Amino acid sequence: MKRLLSIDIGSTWTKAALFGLEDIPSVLGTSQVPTTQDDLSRGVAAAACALLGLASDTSITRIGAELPVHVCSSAKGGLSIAAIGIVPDLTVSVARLVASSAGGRIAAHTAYKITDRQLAVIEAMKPDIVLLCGGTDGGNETYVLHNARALAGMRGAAAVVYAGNATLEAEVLRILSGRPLQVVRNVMPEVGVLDIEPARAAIRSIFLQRIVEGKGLEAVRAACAGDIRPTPLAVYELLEAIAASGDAAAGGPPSLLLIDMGGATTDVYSLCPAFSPDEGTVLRGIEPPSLMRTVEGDLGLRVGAASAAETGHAYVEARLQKEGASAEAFAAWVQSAREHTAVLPGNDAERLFDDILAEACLFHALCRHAGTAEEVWTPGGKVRIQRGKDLRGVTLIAASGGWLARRGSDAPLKRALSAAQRDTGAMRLLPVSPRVAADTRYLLPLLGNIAAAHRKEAALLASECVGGLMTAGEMHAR
Amino acid sequence: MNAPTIVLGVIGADCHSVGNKILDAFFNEKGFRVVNLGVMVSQDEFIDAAIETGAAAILVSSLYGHGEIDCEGFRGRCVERGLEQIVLYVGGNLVVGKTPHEAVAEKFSAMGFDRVFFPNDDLEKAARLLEEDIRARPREPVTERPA
Repeated sequence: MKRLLSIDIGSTWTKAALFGLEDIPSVLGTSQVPTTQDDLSRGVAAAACALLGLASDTSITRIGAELPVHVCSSAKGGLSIAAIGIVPDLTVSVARLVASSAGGRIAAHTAYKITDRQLAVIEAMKPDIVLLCGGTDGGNETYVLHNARALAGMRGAAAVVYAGNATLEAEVLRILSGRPLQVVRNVMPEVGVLDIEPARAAIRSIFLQRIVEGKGLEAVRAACAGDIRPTPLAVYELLEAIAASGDAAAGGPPSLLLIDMGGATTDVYSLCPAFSPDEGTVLRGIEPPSLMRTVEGDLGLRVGAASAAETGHAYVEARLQKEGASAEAFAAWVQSAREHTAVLPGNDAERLFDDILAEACLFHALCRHAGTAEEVWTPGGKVRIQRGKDLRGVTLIAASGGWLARRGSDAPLKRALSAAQRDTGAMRLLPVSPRVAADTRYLLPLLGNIAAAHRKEAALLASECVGGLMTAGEMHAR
Repeated sequence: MNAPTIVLGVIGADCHSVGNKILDAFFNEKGFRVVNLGVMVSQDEFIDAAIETGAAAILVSSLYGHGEIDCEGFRGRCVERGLEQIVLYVGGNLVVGKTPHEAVAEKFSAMGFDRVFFPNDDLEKAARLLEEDIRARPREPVTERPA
């Protein structure tokens, strides 16, 4: 039988799964070992040995010779990107979108001309990549050239990806000749028209070169069947595989949301059409892509607990009040979760606090990912103005990451969703009554890992893992 | 000269789209690069698009009689956001009622619009004026380019 080993190196745990790829692909087993920070290859080998029943001192090189090994990593806290554009609602927002969907974490973003102070902030964040966007093709030159010159003098080893006004390519090449630089097609060649794939590919290629530097990853890389990819990119590729598999079947791809909530960030992926044109709805701003990722760096359950409690304080307060729980005790839990990141709740009170913090993260992550609609009266009648992505057609929420997988009940997620739906202000375009499926065996990122090489099999196993991507009713409706 | 870029749209809560499409086709044929934002465009959306595209002019349409309140402060907003040199035109049924054209033109000129047009104005003439105005505007402060 053709077997395949998939490994995910996380900041706390290194997880592995063994997949069988016969006519009917299957999961043959999973394992999990603590991540070995000083030499990541030891943890990778240990996870593989546990799974394959090999002697514990077998090297990853030996294992790689036996069967194909695919590895993704969120170690080093992922890829850090500074996103630079001109207008906040246009190229700055596109630059952020590209950085997120390439699996990056946005260390800083700037609009218009970069000031000396902003440059100093970027330098201090030590990003792996600076994504320089701005101007449509044949459009703005002033800001783009100013920013390119500012980056030419930037300290640090960051590579620059230029994906702005194509007319300036030669000039930007000249200005930034002293740095590692990739020039790709403009992310916004015309106002409102996106072309994000080339910039995404450039970021990915730089990541692949940089992630393997140090920490024993060279040995892992050498034993790998492919490149080591960032974990968020693996998940993104899984959704691409699902989208493609849906095309082949009747009725097109399913509409789903995938939430990966971890200790440091909450990542939301959506796969669905962004905008369904109908009479009386006008889309303002940029139309988001059908596959989109947002990363919330202030919403996490451990390392990010304090910032999550701060962002979500209104939500947390209301929930604590309803449960009659103490705000001081909650604050103490947040503090200890931040300091002891491996801690799990030990009693009912702590479980409640962990839940409330998770709900607050979900509430804000959902609100930020979803678009809004506002009804305005015009002399010609009522018009609905949509901004951002319409998620109302989403029928399934796949929940991944430690808490969502462990929780065993979809009640907290549904509570956060319904609070977001009821939130005051503009109407939020959230899923209406989705089914929730937990990735209890933490298979989705591991499947994402093999999705580029084995598209159909990965999509099929993912569908099994969440109890089917479409219900019979949804299939029928198509 | 290089084909200048112009930004086109109907301001405010105005949904009149037919005239907008005619202007789009017309100015394209006259050799302008037209960035058409369509209907229901806010002041900031005009300015956002003009910045990203390096536009030489913004042409604002208003057909539903609320032009005055929608256009109030447009020039100031352009200046605030770094578009001091942009050519600003406005045209359409700008106010409700039978106010004489001269009075309307004066009002919108005072707001900082370079030219004001009315429903029966000649488009050919408007295109000629636009070309002249763009050519005559002070050059952007030129960014130092290498020899």
